[in-house]
Amino acid sequence: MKKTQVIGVIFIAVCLGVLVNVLSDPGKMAGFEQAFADPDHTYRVSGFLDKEQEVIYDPITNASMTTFHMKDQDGLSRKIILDKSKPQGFEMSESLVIIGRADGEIFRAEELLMKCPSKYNEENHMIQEAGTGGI
Amino acid sequence: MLAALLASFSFFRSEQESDQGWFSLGKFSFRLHSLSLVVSIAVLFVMLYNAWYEYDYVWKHRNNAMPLRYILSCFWEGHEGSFMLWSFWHMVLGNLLLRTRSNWKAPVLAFISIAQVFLGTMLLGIYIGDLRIGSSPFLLLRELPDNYGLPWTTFPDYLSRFPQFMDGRGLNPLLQNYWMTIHPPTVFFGFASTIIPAAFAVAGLWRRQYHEWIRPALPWTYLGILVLGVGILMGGAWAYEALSFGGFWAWDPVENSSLVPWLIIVAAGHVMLVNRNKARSTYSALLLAIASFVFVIYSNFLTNSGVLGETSVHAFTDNGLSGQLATYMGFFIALPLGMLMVDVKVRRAYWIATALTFTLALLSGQRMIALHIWLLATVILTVYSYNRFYPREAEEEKLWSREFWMFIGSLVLVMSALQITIMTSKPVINILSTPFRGMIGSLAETFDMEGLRTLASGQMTDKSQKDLITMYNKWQTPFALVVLLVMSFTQFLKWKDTPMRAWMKSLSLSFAVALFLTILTCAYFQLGSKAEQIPMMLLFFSCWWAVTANLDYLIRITKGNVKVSGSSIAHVGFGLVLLGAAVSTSQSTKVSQNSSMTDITKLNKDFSNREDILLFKKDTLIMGTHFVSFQEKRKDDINVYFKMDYFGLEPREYKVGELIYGLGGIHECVEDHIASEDMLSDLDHYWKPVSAPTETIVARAELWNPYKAGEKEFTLEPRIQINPKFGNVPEPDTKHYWNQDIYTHVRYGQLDDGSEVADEEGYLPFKDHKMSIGDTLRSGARLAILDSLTSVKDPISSGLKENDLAVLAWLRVMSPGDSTRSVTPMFILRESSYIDSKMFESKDQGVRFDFTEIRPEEGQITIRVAEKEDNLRDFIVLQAIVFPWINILWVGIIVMAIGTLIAVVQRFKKNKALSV
Repeated sequence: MKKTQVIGVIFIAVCLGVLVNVLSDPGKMAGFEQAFADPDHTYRVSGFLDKEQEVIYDPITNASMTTFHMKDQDGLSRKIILDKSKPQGFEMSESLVIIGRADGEIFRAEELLMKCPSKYNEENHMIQEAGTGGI
Repeated sequence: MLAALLASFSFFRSEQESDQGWFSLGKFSFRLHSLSLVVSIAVLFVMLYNAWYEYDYVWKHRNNAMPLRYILSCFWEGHEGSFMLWSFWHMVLGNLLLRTRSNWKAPVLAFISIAQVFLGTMLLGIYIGDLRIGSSPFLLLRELPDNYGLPWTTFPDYLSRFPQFMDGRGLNPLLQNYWMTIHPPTVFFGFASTIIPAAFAVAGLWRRQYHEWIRPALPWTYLGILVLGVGILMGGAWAYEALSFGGFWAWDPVENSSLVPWLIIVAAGHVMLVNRNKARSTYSALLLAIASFVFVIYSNFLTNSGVLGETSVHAFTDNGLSGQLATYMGFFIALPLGMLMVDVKVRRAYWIATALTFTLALLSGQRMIALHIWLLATVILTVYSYNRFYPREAEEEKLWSREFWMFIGSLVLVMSALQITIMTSKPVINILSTPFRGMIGSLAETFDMEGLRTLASGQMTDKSQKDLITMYNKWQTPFALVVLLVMSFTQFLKWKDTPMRAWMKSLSLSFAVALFLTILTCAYFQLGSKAEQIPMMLLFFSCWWAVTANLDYLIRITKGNVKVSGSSIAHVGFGLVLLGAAVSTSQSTKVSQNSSMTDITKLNKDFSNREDILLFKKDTLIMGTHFVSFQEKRKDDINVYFKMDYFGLEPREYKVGELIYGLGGIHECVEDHIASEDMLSDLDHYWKPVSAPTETIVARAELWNPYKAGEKEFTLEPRIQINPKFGNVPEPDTKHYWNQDIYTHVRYGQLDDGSEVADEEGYLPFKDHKMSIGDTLRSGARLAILDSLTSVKDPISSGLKENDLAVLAWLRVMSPGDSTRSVTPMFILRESSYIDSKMFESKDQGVRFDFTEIRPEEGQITIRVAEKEDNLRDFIVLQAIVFPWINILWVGIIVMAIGTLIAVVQRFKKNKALSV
């Protein structure tokens, strides 16, 4: 075989690898209904803070736990336990995205992304993923 | 401005008749366009400077409180400003090109002008029917489409009439950082500079001079590599310094989309070098030069169109122009790719097909299908014309030739870029796959693939951020590894073919040194015991080798000759950047484990303070290699600073009788001793376990610690920026050492005080707690468990009246630094109707318990607690990360920038010398 062909094959193999990898088990976007029907998978649910319910963050008991209620896009409200400290300006958020899975009646979120009310504030969001630095 | 833009476009097109007159006209109109662009930028600046809030853009991005030096940042905060900036750099580059003596000016500037026309229309802000084209930064507030026809727009004095228009919305406080005045223009300069290689490539195709375009394009390409590279890393520096981001890179879509064009342009630059020296890889050179520009547009599409939506933390709002952006992207893919189809018939067919599908899409509304037809046609025709018109070189490159490995290196860079692109484009893939959902669904059932099923429902997104980063690191590590290895040995290869023995010999020294350094590195970080550390160790080695081999080349082969040393220096820098990144990230540790004494793990199974430390004011706790103490909180303008003192460690001496928690139980010291590193080794000699600890003992025991606080070493002041409009934002503070950084940021801090007023005895108002038996309430750092309720049998002796019914609540109260106490507030029902209570006060602790209500039907009672003001101590939740060797990264950036700069300057000089 010629070298070019070998390279070509490797190139295609890597590309396929990436595709299969992307397709194999990506995260899913969903509403609460689907997420609660399938507690074995991690879901990404978007919605907004349910302001009628209390936001509980009690750093003395547990500095990395925040409890609140979120309404998803269909208006379903669920109790969320987030395994992180309450982000600054949480109550002012415009919309939320939580990542995690259902656990009985509550939703356990590993991560929270939030959007604040401003037109173009990419940097505002960045702060919410603290603690996830990569290369 | 727009007239000039259009003019320059048409003139440059006509210029292709290679007529001097047309050329002068084109030159003139480009100058005119430049002038008008500069004027409009100046106008926008004046508007911002004078804070004319009747203009929407000014109102949105400026406010009165803002220091003047951030007006620059305001300028490019919005979509419109950033498009303008981009356009500005194109203009600058175009004018620089006009000053060169190249005979390529005409076609290259034609291409740039077309791009300028498109960018210009992004700023138009006009409506044709319902179709909106562009969005202008010069709109008045009352002209805004959203506000159009609203009642207030009819008041001529609306600015002074409504308070919300008196002051602007202001700039995001995070952007008020010096990096932010310099980072965006640099990145956009880098983005803009990718147009030049693309323009040259298109020009080369136009003139059918497939090699000649490379020489004049090369210095510009390396300029792009330099500027974009530096710009991206500046963004990293900003994130590290000003954002509580937990690092300098997080594989965020916005970061990715600036990295991808950089990877591509680096690959393009190297393939172009191959082509110039060996006349090989012509097609790749052309394709990559164009691709870097296309990826720049794609990046802007991703970040500005709102497609990323909720999958990205950056989540830009759609500015209503995504359709327009998509169309432009289509155009800039179709135009150069069509040029790549050398055969005129195929080219025409492709362009006609493109135009047809576009019209079809507009007319029928079947946009997705049209898009797919077009993509398919693009791929088929590109492959067809590649096979047909670019004959393979008859003779293959030798395996050990420089050109072969340079090509491989570039190819790996491209693969790395593709991987990032595909990962980042998940939302786009969701949209693209819409017409095929049924098909994908059935495929998913056949292969039983979860991912396909997700795609079929269009729900594909990223997993959690942590998974995502692991995924990227997993994929990018091998890519980086190969690139670094190729980078190490390729310089020592000769063009065409290399005698193996001499080559091996020249590499052996740097190889040995790199191996030695790697072993040292691994020993330093105690790596090497586990199999999963092998990829990281390999990466360290390849980084070191890339550094040593290129240093070796620099010293032995180029002998420090500045003219030819640019590439080696840049490669050394790149090696250092990756080394710094790999070491500081993989070896970073969160030192802020909770070491506070309050034993709260018992109370909450979810307790996971592995990353965050809870610090009460004036408390001193161990954190990593220091003791940290929260000294005070201070408010300065919009910032609340948290002053933290850091103390060194000193060995701890334990005396007989001291009680500690450790190794899963409470122990008592039986002999004075200085603690060793590990309690296990002290256990037999100095400690005896306390088998049945009493409450007093439990309360007295401290967490075992081999150290105590020593000398004060430094103070850090992480802060929280208060901004009611954008939400409060924490900003880190970092202690820099030569070999590591201690990076700290406040996760939670109490910002508001003074809302509750204490009474004359110093007590704050009571707080109600509804409790059942067995429940725990918390007040400040105090915990109280309701054990039982007992009725008072003999009211008289308890100081009550005869007919009183009284109930005692037995609460077990645990306060930090004190033994557990019983507290018994009393509930009294007087004469069966009147409710009273007898408060229980612990004067020494400054706390009052009151029992005010019984709800038998719910089995609940109400306990009220009031604390003295001094009890509720201020506290914060802090996170601290140690990044070792991060300075290597910053040094590497500088070295890389210097090396690339040398290369750019040398190439410009050479070209100048040649063209004279």
